[in-house]
Amino acid sequence: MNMRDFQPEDQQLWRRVSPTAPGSPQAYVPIDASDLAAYVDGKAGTDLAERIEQRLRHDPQLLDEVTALRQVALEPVVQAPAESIRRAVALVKAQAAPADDVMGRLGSELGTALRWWLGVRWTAAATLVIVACLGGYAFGQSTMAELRQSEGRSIGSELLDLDNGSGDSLLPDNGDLATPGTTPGNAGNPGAEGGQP
Amino acid sequence: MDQDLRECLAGEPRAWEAFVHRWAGLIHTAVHRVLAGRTRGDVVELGQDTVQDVFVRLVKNDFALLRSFDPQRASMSTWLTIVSRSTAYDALRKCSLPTEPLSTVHQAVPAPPSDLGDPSATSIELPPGLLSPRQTLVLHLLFDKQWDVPQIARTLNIAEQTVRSTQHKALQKLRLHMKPKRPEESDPDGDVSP
Repeated sequence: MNMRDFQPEDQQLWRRVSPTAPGSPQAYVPIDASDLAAYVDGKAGTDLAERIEQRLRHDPQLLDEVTALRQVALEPVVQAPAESIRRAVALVKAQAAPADDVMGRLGSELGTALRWWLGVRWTAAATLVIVACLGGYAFGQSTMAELRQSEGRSIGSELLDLDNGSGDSLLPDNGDLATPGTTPGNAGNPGAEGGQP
Repeated sequence: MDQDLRECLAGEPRAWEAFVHRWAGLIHTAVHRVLAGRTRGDVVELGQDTVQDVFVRLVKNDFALLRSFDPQRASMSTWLTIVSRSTAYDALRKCSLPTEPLSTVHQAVPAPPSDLGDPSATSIELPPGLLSPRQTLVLHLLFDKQWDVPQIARTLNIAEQTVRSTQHKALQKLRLHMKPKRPEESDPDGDVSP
């Protein structure tokens, strides 16, 4: 230290009034990277500069950081290894790559077809869904009709069985219904029983 | 915002490549300055991973961190140096490697005041705002940290003359505040009982 910078009695005076012990958390005002960068570059406003200097008083780490930042700014920049650069560049290429690379490899014709497909895929998907729904509906309708028919037949049979507990139908056969008074066997020939004059 | 940075934020691969080529050296330098001497492991490998981490931070969440950079407030070099150093400190913490010898850590614990127990040296409470934050900081660096004026000027980015003048004004305020008050000053009405 340069002893000409102050008098010992000044130091004693400061020691008596030194407001807050270093490291006191009450003075740890939040500072982000932009604030600190602005301060280091001398672009911080009065209010921000006061906030940072208030914290510098109590935060030895921040004080070391500011000192180091000043020092780094004076040092020459070292060339980064090619591997670091390659990996960093790949970060954004990797994000942008998928569609472009695939297109390039497939060739322009196939690429055009793929682009067309990508464009119409939602329309195609919607059409497929509608067709599937309609097909399902039609299939359901036909199945229901068949079911109703078969149910009708079985219900009719049950009715017949119920009407005649012995199993003999009380209802006449179609032939009997057609020609009352005729015997089975000649129902289709009304003139056979002397009906003729 | 400059055109290259705007294109970069738009996710333009060529702009990003140009950005990387322009700033990789600075990031590499800043990272290695933090890591050097603080890790027992392979500095080269850790350095490369940390440099990559810096770029990942910049790109992550659609360049959220890079978007927070304001060219009106600071230069890209300073801002990137701060981001790089912060990432390097995080890398050291993750590695859980000893960053400082125990003796240094021991020294970092604030020492008790040397005048402890001396009634004549009782600390006096200063009214808030008596000294500005800069005045307080300058006196702290001078008297507590034992820094010299050029070092303070360099750190605070101000002229040496400004440091001296700040020190002078701050001490004047302190002396005035500490000056013993006369009776009429302490009793402004001057009422005296008969």
